[in-house]
Amino acid sequence: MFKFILYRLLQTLLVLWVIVTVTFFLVRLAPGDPFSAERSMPSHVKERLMQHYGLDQPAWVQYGNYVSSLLQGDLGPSYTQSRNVNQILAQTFPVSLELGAWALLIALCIGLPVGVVAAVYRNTRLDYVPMSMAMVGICLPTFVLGPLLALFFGVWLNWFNVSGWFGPHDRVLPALTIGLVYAAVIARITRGGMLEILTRDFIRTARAKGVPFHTIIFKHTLRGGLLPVVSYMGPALAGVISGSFVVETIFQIPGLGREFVSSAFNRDYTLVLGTVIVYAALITLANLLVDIVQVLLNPRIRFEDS
Amino acid sequence: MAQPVLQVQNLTTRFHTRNGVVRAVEDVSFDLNQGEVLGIVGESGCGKSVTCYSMMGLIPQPPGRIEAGSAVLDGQIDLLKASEREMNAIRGKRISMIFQDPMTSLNPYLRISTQLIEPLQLHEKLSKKAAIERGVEALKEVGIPQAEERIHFYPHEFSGGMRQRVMIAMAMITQPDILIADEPTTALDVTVQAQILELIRQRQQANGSAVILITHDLGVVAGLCDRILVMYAGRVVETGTAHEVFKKARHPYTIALQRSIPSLGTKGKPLYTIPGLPPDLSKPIPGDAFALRKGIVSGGKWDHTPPPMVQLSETHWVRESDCELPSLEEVLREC
Ligand SMILES: Nc1ncnc2c1ncn2[C@@H]1O[C@H](COP(=O)(O)OP(=O)(O)O)[C@@H](O)[C@H]1O
Ligand SMILES: [Mg+2]
Repeated sequence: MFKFILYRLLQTLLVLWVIVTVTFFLVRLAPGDPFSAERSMPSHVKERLMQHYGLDQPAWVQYGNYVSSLLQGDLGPSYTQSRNVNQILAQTFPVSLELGAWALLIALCIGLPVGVVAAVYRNTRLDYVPMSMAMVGICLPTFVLGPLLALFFGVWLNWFNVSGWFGPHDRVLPALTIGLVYAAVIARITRGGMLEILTRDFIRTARAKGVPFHTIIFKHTLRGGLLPVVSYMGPALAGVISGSFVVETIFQIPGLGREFVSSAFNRDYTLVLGTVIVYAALITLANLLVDIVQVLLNPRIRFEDS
Repeated sequence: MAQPVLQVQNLTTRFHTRNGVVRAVEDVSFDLNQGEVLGIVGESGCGKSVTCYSMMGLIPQPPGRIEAGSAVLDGQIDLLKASEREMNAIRGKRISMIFQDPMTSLNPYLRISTQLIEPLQLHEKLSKKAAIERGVEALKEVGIPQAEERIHFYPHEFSGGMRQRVMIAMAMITQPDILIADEPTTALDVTVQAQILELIRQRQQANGSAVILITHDLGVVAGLCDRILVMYAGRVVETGTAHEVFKKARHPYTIALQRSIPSLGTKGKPLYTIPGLPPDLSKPIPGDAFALRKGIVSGGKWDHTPPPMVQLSETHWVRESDCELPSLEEVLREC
């Protein structure tokens, strides 16, 4: 197990390096540069700026400089903000992390119970009604659901602010916007996983032993039934992150997602790279965690590996 | 004579599926006496499993429905009408069950220990520690070496035969009055089959339990059963003591089943198999259920008025049939 984790961490580093390299050259391929904003600046000022940041040097020299400072933990200056990239990430990442955590929590807290109930009471109203709603939920894109929620709960009912990130109640709408879609997906996956296990022979064995209904569900079915949900958590996290790009912009949340979007538009090379590194690290680590949980849940994988 | 532990009367179970009504079990009656071994024999799809699942409350409803009958335990409780709570107190304690496929009958996500001691925790309210001790005992009794360690293994670390031993240990751990074994050896290697049957017999005698042994192979029940029930197309066609069914069989189907036991004596001769297939139970059987079985005739209209059961002795009953089966030599010459 330990060897497995170590191996995966090394793999993660390799993946990060590839992502950094590819992103580094891709952003430079995009037309324009950090200083070609709407308001054009005098060419000699721009030349000085390019020189100051080393952007006038050949790409591979820039790459060498970037990687060597990266190895020292320095993500470089931002070309469009007065803060450097380390500071920006330190300020915005916790905001996005909180938003993402709420969204995932909502997704799990709604999706899991709904899916379990739908599977247990399959082909009844407790199955049909929530599952039809889930189908609608899956089809609703974030950029539609967000404004709808803001309009309904913010503007008409006036329960929440339509934008900003100050009090705890400001978390509700953005987290719901991202979370509901995944709640729907998780409900469907949970239902499928549970149904798959409930029709297995060993459930019949448990019934033949006189195991009561709720014990059959919680002790004999959940473990296997939730495995597909666990493997979905990796893609779900990636989805939540891309959801946050949209939602942080809609609700004016000072998070990493918004920085990522604006830095890409502004060709703020170092900031793009910084955010990409954070996201890539987050996703690969989350996938590692998913794999570990899967191994813990499923004894068969555990023994094949060791 | 003492009262039977289980009296099944006129059991009728059907499945109401999209493709029609499957008449899986029609009007089946039998008694099970204390400590005896009853064999239920018939080809696949004849309703053997459904008969037992009905008694255990394991029929998925819907599509299944128990249309009629009773299955009375101890002359007191009708299992077919008992509530889920009453059944949970009976299943695993008074009546246990083992299944055909030991590879899928154990939960792959739970340790053997967890599954094995569950009946003790549920029915005897034993502490985990005491239950584990009994579990280790039980595993030793079914011949699993290093039981102290292996009780903590997962099912996939056991071979098929070993898993069936675990199933037997799990079923017998509460010393039930009745053990239902549904084709317990069908999925196993031939070499292991005899061991498992011997083990069932041994545990049965140690506990004094009654056993219902389901099989499609009359050879399997030969040395093991006190009484035998032969089923065909959801109905009983012949029932009697082992001696009666083997030596004085009257129904052509029973005789055909006997002939299809591969035995040492037939070496060199072609193996006999009953020609044709059993009828599709999802459609009514307008005439003779044996219509597709060359050489066997019983007459009657099986969906309404099957041939009646005739009593031959105190224990021997047979469904009326219109024919004498031609001698085996004749049959083999034909094919
Ligand atoms: N859940 C079910 N739904 C529909 N038909 C079923 C179901 N279970 C069993 N049957 C049908 O009932 C009949 C008897 O099956 P079964 O008792 O399993 O036969 P066997 O004698 O081989 O154990 C078969 O025709 C089978 O197709
Ligand atoms: Mg069967």
